[in-house]
Amino acid sequence: MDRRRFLQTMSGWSLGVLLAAMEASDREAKADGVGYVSPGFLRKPLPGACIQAQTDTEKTLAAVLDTVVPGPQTDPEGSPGAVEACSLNVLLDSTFPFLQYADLFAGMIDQISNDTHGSPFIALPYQQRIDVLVAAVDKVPLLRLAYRAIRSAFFGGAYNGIGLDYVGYPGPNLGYRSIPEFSFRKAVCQELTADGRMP
Amino acid sequence: MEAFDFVIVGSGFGGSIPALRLAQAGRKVLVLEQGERLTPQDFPQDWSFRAQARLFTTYTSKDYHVILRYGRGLGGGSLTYAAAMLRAPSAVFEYRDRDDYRVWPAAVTRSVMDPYFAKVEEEMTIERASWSDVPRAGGVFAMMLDKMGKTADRGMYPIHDCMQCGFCMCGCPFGRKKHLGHNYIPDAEQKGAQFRTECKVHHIEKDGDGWLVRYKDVHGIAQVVHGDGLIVAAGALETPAVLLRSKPWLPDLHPQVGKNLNNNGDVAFLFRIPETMPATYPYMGRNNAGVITYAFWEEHRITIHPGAGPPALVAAMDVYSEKDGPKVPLGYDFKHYVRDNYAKHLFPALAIGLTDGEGEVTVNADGIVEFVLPLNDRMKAYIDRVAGVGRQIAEANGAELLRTGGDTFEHGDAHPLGTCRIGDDDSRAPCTPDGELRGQKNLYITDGAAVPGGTGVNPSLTIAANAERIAAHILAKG
Ligand SMILES: Cc1cc2nc3c(=O)[nH]c(=O)nc-3n(C[C@H](O)[C@H](O)[C@H](O)COP(=O)(O)OP(=O)(O)OC[C@H]3O[C@@H](n4cnc5c(N)ncnc54)[C@H](O)[C@@H]3O)c2cc1C
Ligand code: SF4
Repeated sequence: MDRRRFLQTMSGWSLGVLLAAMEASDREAKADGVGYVSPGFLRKPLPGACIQAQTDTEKTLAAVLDTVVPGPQTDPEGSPGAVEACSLNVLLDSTFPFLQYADLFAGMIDQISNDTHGSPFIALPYQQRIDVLVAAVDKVPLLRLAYRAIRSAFFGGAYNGIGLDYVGYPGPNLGYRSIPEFSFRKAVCQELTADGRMP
Repeated sequence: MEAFDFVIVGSGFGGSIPALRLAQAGRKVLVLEQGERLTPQDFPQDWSFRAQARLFTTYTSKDYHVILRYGRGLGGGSLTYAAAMLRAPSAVFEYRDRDDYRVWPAAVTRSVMDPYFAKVEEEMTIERASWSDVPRAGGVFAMMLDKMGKTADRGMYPIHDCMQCGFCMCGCPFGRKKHLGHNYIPDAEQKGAQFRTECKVHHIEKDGDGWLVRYKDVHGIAQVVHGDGLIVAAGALETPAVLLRSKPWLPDLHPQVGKNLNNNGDVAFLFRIPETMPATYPYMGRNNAGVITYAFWEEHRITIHPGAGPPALVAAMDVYSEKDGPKVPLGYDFKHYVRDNYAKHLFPALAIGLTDGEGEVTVNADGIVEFVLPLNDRMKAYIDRVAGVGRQIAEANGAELLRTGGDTFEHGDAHPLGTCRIGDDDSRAPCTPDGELRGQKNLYITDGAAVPGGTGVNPSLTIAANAERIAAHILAKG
């Protein structure tokens, strides 16, 4: 079976089945000398996918997301951002610490926004939103973690592969060792130790 | 009530190693592990929060500046670590803190540790990576050092026939990374040791010269077992938590339990290399990118190793360029920056070095871990030293040093140590040099909590060798 067909077949299968098949595919790759490519089968959005912002708090949080990692409404290049990557799901996930603070965060950000620019956050243009979010970190240190979580959700592919695709991260794969670019495959530096054990 | 010669809390390096040695000597051993028994099928190539939450427990410091996490499951951190297993250099064991206190016991030197290092290397089949196993990010880093006339050494790993998929820290789906479930644990089981998973220990109580261990089993039902001896090896964050939760039953608990938290001097940063250099492809290959430099050890007591991993590894941190000054990474500029640089021009690096352990683990009213790791002047001076070295490497190569963290560097999240440290001084170290908790007969600490200070390199081999050493002592005691 050629690699493309193999991967197409695999993409419909469960991960467990795929893993069980990897040993065999590894032998195949060695035999045909072809490098591995990403099957991309984990990239599909999960069922239920993105939570849509409904309440005022959720709308403010969605605007925060669109400022931390802007999507097509805000990014002049029109590429997807945190909203498209379902990052609102992270902030509203009951297993993460933000949900209990969601109203507090949204209220706080709106308050800073009103105090400094005379409008709620959602009504501000992009640059002013950035200023508000930067100012808010000094007042609520936990926000720094919220921003990290939003970036992680996008760049880490928490709910779908939109952020991973955007950055060009191939994701799940069968190993790169056969790909020429993987390694220089030769000594590129002197070593201090003979056996890898520092005295 | 069930009774054992030894009950062990936690199945990481600190727990599984004594489990094997005690079982080999004919002792009846029970290991209680809060995590699950995982197989390669449980290690999907998935960096999402949900997948990671199954494998790791994560805590944020009280001031939200530092994140620390540990791998959970039968085999502890060995399941999901990056598997660099390096001997701590001799100077580690001679380190003296700001009070001129020798942090390691005088009797525990590198030459004393060497046979135990060798034992672990043999049991875990640790070997040096070949240059063909060094991913591009590691190769580029080594080239940068070469250009300065400095050295970089290939690392040591219990990894064989690596597929180089880049998901070691999700667990290895191909079974190429040898964790404790491939060696110490099955060997111990074969010798009769019992490992019970999804059993979370709440607290311990004295029971004559032995111990009662109270835990919730896999069904959430409260259970109690007796151990003539007890080893607490729940990791540097949870070991003090188990002991501190036990304080109502242990009023004489050593006051230093939980103190001296050391993050191994971990400082994370990134290099952005110029377009003229070969691309880094940080998504390809093992997460510990194959090399480490000892070139700055003599002068600065710092080692640096490059990493490889997903975009979140570089983008989730609060990254900023030194020339711009501290900055919260927000907006489309940052998004574009990551896209334009991640795959070819960036790679993360971790400096590890010798610092005083000035943090502390406590428990809150619910008995859950809390911690602080103060960013005081000493830590700032250390971070400046690391920055100086990083800048030197960057400048020699026309590269840029990217700092992390809000107003400083980001500490690594992976190497807590020292919260129940061994040591010579009764008042400074909760444990004797041989790992017994002072004032608590037949209770030993054998994990990262017992390792008294930074290890200069990734700590697992030192934790493991120290656990071998303490196990040998327990057996010698009879
Ligand atoms: C992402 C990551 C990458 C790493 N990479 C490396 C590396 O490349 N090289 C290296 O040397 N080190 C690495 N480390 C660090 C290494 O994993 C740890 O230093 C090591 O695992 C610590 O060993 P330990 O025995 O102290 O504790 P652990 O390995 O953490 O084991 C403790 C065990 O106790 C269990 N436990 C905790 N509380 C309880 C309780 N109340 N009841 C029952 N069980 C409990 C836990 O679930 C865990 O399984 C890495 C760590 C992380 C997080
Ligand atoms: S890079 Fe190697 S050790 Fe790491 S997960 Fe992939 S196959 Fe396993």
